[in-house]
Amino acid sequence: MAINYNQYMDKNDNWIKQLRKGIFELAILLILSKQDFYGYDLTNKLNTIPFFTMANGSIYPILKKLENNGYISSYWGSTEIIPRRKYYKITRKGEEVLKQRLEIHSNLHESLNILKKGCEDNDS
Amino acid sequence: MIASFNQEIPFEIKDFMSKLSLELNDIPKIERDQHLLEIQSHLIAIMNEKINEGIKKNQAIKETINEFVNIKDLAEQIKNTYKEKEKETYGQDILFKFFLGLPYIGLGQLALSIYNGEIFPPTSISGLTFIIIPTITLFFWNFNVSGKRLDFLKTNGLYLITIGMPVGAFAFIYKSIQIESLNFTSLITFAIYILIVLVLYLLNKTLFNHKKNSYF
Repeated sequence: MAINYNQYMDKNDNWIKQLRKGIFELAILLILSKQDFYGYDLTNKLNTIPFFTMANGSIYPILKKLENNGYISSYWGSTEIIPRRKYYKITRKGEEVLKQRLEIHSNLHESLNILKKGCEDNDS
Repeated sequence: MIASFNQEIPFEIKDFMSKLSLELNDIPKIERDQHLLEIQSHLIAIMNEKINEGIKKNQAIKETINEFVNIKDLAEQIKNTYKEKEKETYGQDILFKFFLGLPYIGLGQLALSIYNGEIFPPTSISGLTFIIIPTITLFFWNFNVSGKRLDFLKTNGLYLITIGMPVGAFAFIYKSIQIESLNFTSLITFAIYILIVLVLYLLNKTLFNHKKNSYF
């Protein structure tokens, strides 16, 4: 069953805010590493996963930030499709950053699990 | 105002866009229009999806606006991202403006030759150097394009026509009135001056279009 993360997340908790922000960037890079997307489609894709639900439109400042950092680039789609869509694609720099951050994330997750396991062993 | 689509934009969405446009007023127009066009496209996509699901148009518009992030929050976040970028590129922007501004010193020196009615080689050579070197540098400098820099280029084109050209004309007319006749050297220098301003204007326009195309 899907967990509704928003339900018990304290939205004023700065740590959660920062964590979500960082993870959102990672998630967007991950999605764009497979295929180019435009903002609306990207939001829909993220909204299928409970942790990543976001209000429509909130994605644009994040996309702009990623673009400013050179992790993604954008291009306008065909004029035949109305309304015209602006697509985003991952850059080489973005791919490198994604790989690096996923590795760090995985190491952190593993480290926390070791700590958690240690605590549980002590308890028993 | 932002580009319009063939599909008629509902009043509520137009109103939303106008309010957002006002909130984003302090970011460069080119950059602002990009955001607005993209967000408008997003709003229409949601609305169309709702209509396709069988929701009545008026209700679909209402729901689309309600589900969209608050205008003030969205504008604030966009502006913050823009400010962050601006801080990073501040030094380069100054350098960019500096190179755009140098040809005006050159034009000023050439205007002096028009006014004096004689060509003084050191001043003319220095003037041409101030014009040619920065222009070549700007053309071959593979600078990062931003809305702000595109705005600088656009304004520069306007300044060349509204300030650069009248300065030369003023120097020529003033000289003619002063000596109550036509000074041949002054006339030739003025003709060259106008030609240079026109070439600068065309080069600026070419650079603007080229960079704009690579940006959009």
